[in-house]
Amino acid sequence: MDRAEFERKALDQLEAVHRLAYHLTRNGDAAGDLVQEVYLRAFRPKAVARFEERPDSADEDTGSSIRSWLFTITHNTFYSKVKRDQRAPVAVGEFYSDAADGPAPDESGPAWDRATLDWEQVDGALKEAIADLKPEYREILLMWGVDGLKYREIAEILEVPIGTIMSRLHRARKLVAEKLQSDERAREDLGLDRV
Amino acid sequence: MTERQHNQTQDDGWVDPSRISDEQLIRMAADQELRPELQARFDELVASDGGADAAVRFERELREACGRAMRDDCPPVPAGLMARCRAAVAEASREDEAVAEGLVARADETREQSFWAAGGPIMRSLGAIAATMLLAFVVWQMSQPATTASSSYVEAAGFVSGEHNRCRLNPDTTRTKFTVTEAEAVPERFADLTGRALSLSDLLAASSAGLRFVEAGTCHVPGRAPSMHLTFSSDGTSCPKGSSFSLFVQAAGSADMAEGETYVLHREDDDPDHPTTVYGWTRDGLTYYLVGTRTDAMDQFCEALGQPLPAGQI
Repeated sequence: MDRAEFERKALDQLEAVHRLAYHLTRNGDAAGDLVQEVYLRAFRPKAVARFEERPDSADEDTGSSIRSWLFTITHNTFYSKVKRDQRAPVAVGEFYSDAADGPAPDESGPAWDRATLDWEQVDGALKEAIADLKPEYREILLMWGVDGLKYREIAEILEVPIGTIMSRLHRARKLVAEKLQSDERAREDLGLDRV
Repeated sequence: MTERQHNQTQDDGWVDPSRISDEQLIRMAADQELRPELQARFDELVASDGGADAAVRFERELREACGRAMRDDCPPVPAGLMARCRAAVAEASREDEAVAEGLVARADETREQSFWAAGGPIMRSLGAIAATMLLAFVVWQMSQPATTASSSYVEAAGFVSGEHNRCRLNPDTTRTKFTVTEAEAVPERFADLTGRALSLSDLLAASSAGLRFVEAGTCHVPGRAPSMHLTFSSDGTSCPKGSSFSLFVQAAGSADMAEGETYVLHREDDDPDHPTTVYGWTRDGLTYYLVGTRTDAMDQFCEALGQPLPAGQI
């Protein structure tokens, strides 16, 4: 693939990269700055060389490979910044201690009657529940829910074991579901009645 | 990998099936991530628990709803972001070309046997230049007082010019230098480093000149006082997008520069059209060195700061 085509395919992913940046930062300006920094870093000589070394760089679906590669850079750039930000040391600690968590098989799931669901009605409550999640949960939820990535793909992007992805996804879903359940209006709209 | 994770995962990174709960089994089935060894367990679960099918359906709907909510809850890509990213790509590509051209030129040159030959023309020329420079330095040194005021800014201007290009062309080797990526954090970091105040509004003035703050870090501009190196990138308003600029701020005044004046301290002969240029000024006991190749943008930066345009070179 020549350089021009490579650039075009990378810029085709701008919307996906911006969405991830926005859900990490939850701030429009910060997301824009993060995206620009991602593209600057992505096209530095060493970064391009690292992409070319990836086994999936020669895949037919280069767009997906480039998106995964840009997601990795977005994730690393965001958390490098968090680490450098001395004003929020707790967030970093939480992030790294969480990363070491394994699955939590003993946690029970939400107990409700799942027969009649009206998701359209709980849009606001759902958005609020997702916004309240920590960024490390939001980014996985995004890759899983919006981009439709498999556990293994997310694990490769974030460079963590699949077990960690399953654990975080499990917690993120549980937190969202619990939040919906605690919202009386959402519970009514979804027909979520405790068993 | 931690010991705990090691105990829970297989060699291929998957979680040990015996540690997967029914709740997780349902979620894996909903996500179509069920591995063959778990299928039988899931089938048993569906057979024994009448609610399992509904649970799988709920998890699938939750996934779709989360996806929809996250898509809707994200503002559209801002107008201008594509252009900013194109500029970033172009900037990175220029760095690539500059480094590559430098390496190729140097490699070609140094591959020549005559380059290394002790009696070759290049070595003879270098010897003559070195001898001339040494003689000139001795004569100059003898004619100067013990310390000179002008030597400080000459040395500093040469240093900041070189450092600007080094950081611009070798971002990977200088990455650890820049630890501040938000303009708002610069005054606090500067105060920690120097015990002096640096006005944030001065930094934000750069944006009205079309220069976007990129990052900053500690630097060692010649002299005893500590200093910081701030980098900016043009947004295309006053000069081509992605053009790099540096502002070095040293926590000391300069005897060579009168307060309220701006000076051209240095011009590199690297590009006849846009030579690397250093502007300098002092204000409130701090010395500023602005470095870039686009003096149109540098002039606008000075105007935004309320700093007069340079009257001439010192």
